Amino acid sequence: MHIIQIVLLLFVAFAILKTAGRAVRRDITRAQLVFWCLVWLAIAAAALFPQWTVVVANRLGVGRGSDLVLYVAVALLLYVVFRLTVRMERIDRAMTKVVRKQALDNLDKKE
Amino acid sequence: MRITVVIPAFNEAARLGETVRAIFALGHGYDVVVVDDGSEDGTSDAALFSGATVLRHAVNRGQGAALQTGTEWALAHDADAIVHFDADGQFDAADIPRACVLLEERGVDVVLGSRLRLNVPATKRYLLLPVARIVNWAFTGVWLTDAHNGFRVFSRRAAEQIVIRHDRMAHNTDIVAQIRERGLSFAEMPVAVHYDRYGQGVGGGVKIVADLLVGWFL
Repeated sequence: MHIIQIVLLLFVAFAILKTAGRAVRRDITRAQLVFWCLVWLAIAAAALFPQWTVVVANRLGVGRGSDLVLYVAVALLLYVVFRLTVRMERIDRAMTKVVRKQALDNLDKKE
Repeated sequence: MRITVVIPAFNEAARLGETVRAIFALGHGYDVVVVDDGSEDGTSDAALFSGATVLRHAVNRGQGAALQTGTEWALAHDADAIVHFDADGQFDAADIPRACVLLEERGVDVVLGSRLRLNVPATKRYLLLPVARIVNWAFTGVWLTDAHNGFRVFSRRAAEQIVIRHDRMAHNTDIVAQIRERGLSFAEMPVAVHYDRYGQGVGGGVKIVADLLVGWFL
C-alpha cells in the first residue's frame, strides 16, 4: 500500500463523514448526498484498486488510468463550477429584487 | 405627452447635475428620475439638488438593474414615453425631443440610439463595435448599426412589455432580443456621443457575453 493511497482513503473517509453530517442537518438534498457519496466512493475505488483505472481507461480508449481519472475530474469540476455560477446569478437577481423594492418603497413613503 | 427620463447613476456626483439641468432646460413635459445605484460620492444629493426625483439602491446592483427600477417608477407615474439616458454627460439632451418626435411620427414602439458619428475612438469604431454588432446579431437576430448604446426611448406600451433581467451590462443586447421576441417595432436614430471615457472595452465585452450565456440557463 502506498502513502498516496492511505492519504486518499483518509480524505474519502473525512469527506463522507462531512457529507453525511450536512445531509442530517438538511443542508444538502438527498440527491446531492447520493451524488457526492458516489464521487467519494469512486475516488476510494481508484485509490484502492488503481489497476481498475487502467482497465476502464483502456476500454474507453484512453492510454493511462491516471489520465482517465484526470479527464473525469476536470469534467466534473467544470460542471460543478457551471452550476455554481448559475446559482450565484440567481442569488444576485433575488438581491436586486429586494434592493429595488426597498428603493421604490422608500420614495413612496416620502411622496 | 409625459416624457420620463431614467438616468442610472453610480458615483456621478460631479457630472450628474449638469446632465439633469440640460434636460430640464429643454422645456416642460419632462420628468427626470435618477436611480442612484449605491453611490458613495453624494450622487443622490447632486440629483436632488438639480431637481430630479431620486430612487436609491442601498447597494450597487448594476446599470441594468438601475434602469429597470427607474422604468418601473416611470410606468407607475403615468409616463407616456420613457427615455434611458447616461448620467455622465456623454449624451446630448437635445437628442431626447428628437427621438420622441421620431417615435410618434414613425409610430414605432422603440427608438434606439446609434453612434454613426466620427468622434468614436478609433479602436472602438473599427475593432470593438464591428465585433459587438456581430455578437449582438448572434444573440438577437437583429442587425443594428450600433450594438451597445445606452440611449433608448420606449413608448409606454413597449416599456410595459420589456423587462430588464440582466443586472449589469448585458441588458443592451437583451432589450433588443426582447423587442424582437415580442414583435415590437423600432427605429434607429443617430445620436451624438461625447467621449471622455472609453466605456466598455474587450474585458467588458467578454463579461457581457458571459452574462448572456448564463442568462440562457436561468
